[in-house]
Amino acid sequence: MKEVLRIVDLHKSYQKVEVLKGVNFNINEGETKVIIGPSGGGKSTLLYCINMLVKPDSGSVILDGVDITKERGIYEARQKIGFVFQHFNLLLHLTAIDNVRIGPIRVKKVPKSEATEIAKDALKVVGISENLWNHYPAQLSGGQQQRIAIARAIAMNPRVILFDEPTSALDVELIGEVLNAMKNLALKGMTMLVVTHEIGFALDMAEEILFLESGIILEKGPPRKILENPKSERLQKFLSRLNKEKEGF
Amino acid sequence: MQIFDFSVFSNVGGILYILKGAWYTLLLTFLSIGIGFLVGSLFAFCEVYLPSPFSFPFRAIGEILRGIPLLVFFLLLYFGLRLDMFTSAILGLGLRSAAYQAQIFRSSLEAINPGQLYAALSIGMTKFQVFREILLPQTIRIMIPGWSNEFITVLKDTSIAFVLGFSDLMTRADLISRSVGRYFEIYIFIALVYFLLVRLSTFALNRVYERIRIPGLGEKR
Repeated sequence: MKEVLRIVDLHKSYQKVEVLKGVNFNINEGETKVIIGPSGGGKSTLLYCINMLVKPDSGSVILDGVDITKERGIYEARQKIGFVFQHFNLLLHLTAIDNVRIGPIRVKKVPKSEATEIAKDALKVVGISENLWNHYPAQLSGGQQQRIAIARAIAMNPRVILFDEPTSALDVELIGEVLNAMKNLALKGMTMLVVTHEIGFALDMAEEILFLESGIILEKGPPRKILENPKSERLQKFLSRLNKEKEGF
Repeated sequence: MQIFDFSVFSNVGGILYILKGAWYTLLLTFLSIGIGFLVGSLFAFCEVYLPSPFSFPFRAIGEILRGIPLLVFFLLLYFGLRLDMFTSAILGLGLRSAAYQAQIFRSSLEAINPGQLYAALSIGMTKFQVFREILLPQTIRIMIPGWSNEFITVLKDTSIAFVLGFSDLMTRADLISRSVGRYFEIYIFIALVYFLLVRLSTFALNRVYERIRIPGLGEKR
């Protein structure tokens, strides 16, 4: 299998707090990997460093064999790395379909008619029906907004999509529709790196779970092994806390 | 002696003379707002984007302009810098408005949540594209209500240019009321004219706002 992304010894500090202390992993074409870990463990920072929205202090992000931390034109690399945010971050002054096609039109300079077709296809993948295409973000539910945000990433035809807790800002009844859209996308062969605590999604879709704790990947492996047979004490504690939350204690 | 003497308005020539002052009032308003817009957006941009030692002078000048009464500012320009009447009026109103408009731009610019900017960068937009495609169009939409207030403030404050003798509504009204010896009627009359000009401007600006506002945002529920 072809390697899409390799993260090598990534470090990042904010002032004196070291958030990432040497993170290493890779992800191959078509794979889905899930990152779990306590808040403050560096999960979001890791994702933001991968597409250089936050500049890492040292280490490498290698996309298709090219170290993009050393590249001058980061704008090119970002086109190949989709990003789905916790709070959707749709552009508020644009309709659903404009949010999806603005990337192809403005960044890739695709003709508008062609971009519209790309956008329509992407919106279909995430199950946004035609009657919503001309709605503005403020007129849509969180679940719909997040699925449009996923379509926005898809429309750029990226090599990999990073998801930063895509369902944690959603009401419980809206989580399913977003997870389904993500499953649909994974089944179509998209390479995905997902920060989430939706264990069901990880069990169904992930090739591997990475446990990120205090800035390093403490443990990794296939979902069943990680979830049912955690080795480190910290992962055991984290999972039992997660289970308690789910059961509502 | 009557409290309100309608016969004052039979002096048609005088009333028309006052009304012609509306053109000068509007001319002064638009020129001052225009200067305020250009200088104000420059100031807002410098305040937000320049690193703090360089942005300081812009902040300081803004503070000073907002801290001086307009009347005093007019007199400083006219007697202090010895500018002519028209230039003093336009610069006085324009620069003070620039200081206020800068605040309106700055707060609108900062009201845009940075998540959207991250999102735009994440699909590969350059910083300039982010400014043009997101910051600018959203700032304009957000600032219109506050900017409308500034517009009518300037419109009304053109009357203070009366001290310079600028030939606007106020100055002409003063002249006519002296000549007919009735003040109350004439001032009520120009109060009405100012009120109508303000209503007309707010109406027009509200129409613009309704046209370009972002659907679903800030709607009354």
